[in-house]
This record gives sequence, C-alpha cells and structure tokens, in this order.
Amino acid sequence: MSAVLVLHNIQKNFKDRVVLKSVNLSLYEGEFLCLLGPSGCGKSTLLRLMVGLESPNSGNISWSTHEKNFAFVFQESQLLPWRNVLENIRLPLEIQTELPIEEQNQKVLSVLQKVNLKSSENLFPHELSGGMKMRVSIARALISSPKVLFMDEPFSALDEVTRLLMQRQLRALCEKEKLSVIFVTHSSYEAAFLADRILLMNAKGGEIILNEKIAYNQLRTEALRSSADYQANIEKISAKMQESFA
Amino acid sequence: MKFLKHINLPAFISLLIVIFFFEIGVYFSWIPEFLFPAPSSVLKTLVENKSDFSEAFLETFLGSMTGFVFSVILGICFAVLFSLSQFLRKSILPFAVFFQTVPIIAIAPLLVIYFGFGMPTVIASAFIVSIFPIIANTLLGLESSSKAEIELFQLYGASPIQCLWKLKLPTAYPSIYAGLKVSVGLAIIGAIAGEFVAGGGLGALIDSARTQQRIDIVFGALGLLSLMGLLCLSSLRACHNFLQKMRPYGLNIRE
Repeated sequence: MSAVLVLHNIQKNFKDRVVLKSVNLSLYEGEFLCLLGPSGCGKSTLLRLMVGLESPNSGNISWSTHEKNFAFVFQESQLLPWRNVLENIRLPLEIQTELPIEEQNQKVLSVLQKVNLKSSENLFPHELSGGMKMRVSIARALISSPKVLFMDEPFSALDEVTRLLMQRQLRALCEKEKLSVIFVTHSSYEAAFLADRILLMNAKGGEIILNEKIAYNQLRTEALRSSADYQANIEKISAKMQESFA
Repeated sequence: MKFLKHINLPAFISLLIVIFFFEIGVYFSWIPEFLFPAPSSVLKTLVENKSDFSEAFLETFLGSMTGFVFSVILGICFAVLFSLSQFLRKSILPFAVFFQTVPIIAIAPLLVIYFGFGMPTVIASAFIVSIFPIIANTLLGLESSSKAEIELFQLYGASPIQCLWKLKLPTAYPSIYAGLKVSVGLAIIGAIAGEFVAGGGLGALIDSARTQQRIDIVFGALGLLSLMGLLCLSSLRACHNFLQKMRPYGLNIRE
C-alpha cells in the first residue's frame, strides 16, 4: 500500500502553547485511520492542518502523486437551512464544476442511495433527524468523488442507537468506495470498531503515543462488538489512554 | 370571514375601546374638542374631503416608497461592498453614520435648495432617513455566517462572490428583513418631513391644517399615515411569509 498523505515533524503552537509536537503520520490508500485522544489534545487541529485550514509552525505535509482530492465532514452537519437536501448535497458541484444542473442532480440522487437516504431530496434540514443530517453531510462530502475523507467527530452529537448504526454504515461505505479515511474521535469503542489503524494522542503534549493496527477475523457487523478481539482492543487502548493521563 | 383570521383581534379591540372612549369623552365635554376631535368628526372630515386626502395619501405613499426602494437597493449594495472590502468599509462607513445622527428636519431645507420643491426632495428625504438601518442590518447579517460555514466554502475553493451569493446573503436574510421593517417606517417619517418643507402629500396637508387650526384634518391625516405604515409592514410580512414557505430562511424569525 502506498501512502496518500504524509506528515513529517509537524509542530503547531497557539501563541506560546505547544499544541502539536513533532507529529509524524502516514495515511495509506484505502486505510481507515482513527485519530484518538481526549478532548483538547490537538486531534482536530491536526485534521485542520491536513486540509489546509491551519498552517504548521514547522514540518511539512505532502500528498501523493494525484492532486489533493479530499472532502471534510465537520462535527456538526453544517447544512444550509435554506437549501433542501438535494441542493445541500449539490453545493460542492455548483462551486467546483460547470456540469449541467440535470447531471448534478443525477449525481446527487445516486449519492443519496449510497447513504440510504432515498426519497429525501426535497426535505429541508429542519425536517431531518440528527442521523439524517449527518448522512446528508456525508453525501455532500462524497459528491465530488474524493479519494480521502476527513471526519472530525461526526457522530458525537448523535444518540447511541443512531451512532452505532452510522458507524456500521460508514465502515461499509468506505470499504465499498475504497476511501482513505482519517476519523477523529475521543471514543475508544468507536475507534476500535471503525479503524484499520489507531493513532492515540497524548493528553498534554500533542504527541502520538500509540500506533496500533486493528484487524478482525470477522466482518464489522454488530456481532463484532461482543467479540473477545474487540473487547481486548478496547482494553488495550483504554489502558494506554489512562497512562497518558497519569 | 377568512380575512378575520389575519386581524390582530386584541389590537383591534383596544383601538375600538380608545375610539369609543374619545367619542364619549368629547360628547360629554370631558375632553376639549379643540385638542382632540371626536373620532366621528374626523371620519366625517375624511369622507367630505376624500379626494384631497386620497390624492395626498397617494403622493406621500409614492414619495416614501420610492425613497425606500432606493435605500433598499443602495443600502444592500453598500453593505455588500463594505463586507467585501475593509478599505471601503473603514473609509466610507463612518460617514454613513451621518444619515443616522443628523435630524432630517435640519437638512430638509438644504434638500429643497438642491432638488427644488415637490417629489424629488420628498424622495431624497425618505431615502436619507431610511438607508442607515438597511446598511447596518445587512452588514451585520453578512458577517453572521459561522466560522465552520465559511471554512466549508473555503474547502470547496469558493470565490468571494460565490461565498457571498450562496452563503452570506442568504444567511443575512433575517437581518435584512429586520432592517426593512425599521426602514419602511422611517421612509414614511422622512417623506413627511420632506413634505413639510417641499410641499405636497399628507405632510403639506398637516402643515396647512395646522395654520388653520383644523385639528380634525390633522387627525385624519395621522390616521391615514398609520394606515400607510400598517399597509407597508403587512406587505413586507406577506413577502416574508411567502419566502419562508419557499425557503426556510432564518427560521428563528418565522412569524
């Protein structure tokens, strides 16, 4: 597997406070990478650096051969209230392409199927549940056919049942679309279910203290959550997290 | 009976009570008629001089609404320019405060010198009084997009014009609407102030009635001005409700 994105010796300060210290990271093609750590450890800052919303104080970020083809999913769905589902998802195409509107709409309808939101294209955001809003947000990210998907705690505001469902569907979708994903979360349960690899960040220093591959002998379905492998992974990550707090 | 649904019943009842109180008060001479005429005599004056009143009403309405439309167009354009250019904002916006702070009655004589007697001065007066709330509210609205929304557009590589058209202007809608509601009333005030010095419309009618001590005409004109204000605000609200049905702009201000 070749690296899609490589971060080398990244340092980021906010005034005198060091948020990230010598972070090295590679994302491989088709990999689901979870960036795990307690609140305030610099995971979101690291994600913002990768997409160019922040600049590092030192170090460099390099993308592989093809152009930066990525999409970003925010913690909140960030849907525009005056646009219906179809128009919200169409937004990146309107901005980035010259495609005729019919063609754009066709693309939207096919993406809606991928996120299990058929026949919702005419609804407005205030008519959607939290889970549906997040699906629309993911569909909007997928509309421009990205190779890399950055997700900043997208399921943190969802209820337990919806969150578990969204995790299963996201994992299946990313496998099907062969997406490389960097997923920020502070839940070890979420990370252990979704990730191919977990990077655990230190609570204070903004350093990566664990780089752990996650593999299971079974499919990532609901049954996985009660398996011994899954439990063992969670225990291992939790123990390391406790260490970082100590 | 359908129209009854649209009437604000408590306000309507309050108005009827006040009218009844004044009618009784004047009838029993508890209230001096030379200060407050009986509502029935105001109504009689309105009916007897209906052609004068309707002509004046239309003239004031036309003057104030033309000034209002100019201030909406120019006010929004200025606010957009200020939101796009910090330089323009810093160099021009402080002077726009002039429109807010200088009393129109003080500059109305100047307007007569510049625009002459009649409609142009009335329009200019309505425009000067009503433009500032539109600039201020639109600018506030244009700057109310969240950081995450701006970043979303930044990630899509949107140009400043795309960002303005697809994000900032729709986000600004609730503020623009609030500005319009304030400005439409101010435009009527500005038009009346202009008519006091430039002639024509309900302003001139009030001024001439004042010199003749015809308080019934003054009250009749004031009633018509209130009606004009209500008509303008209702029209704005109807447009707003129509837009809200089409697009849920600013759900927090749905009426």
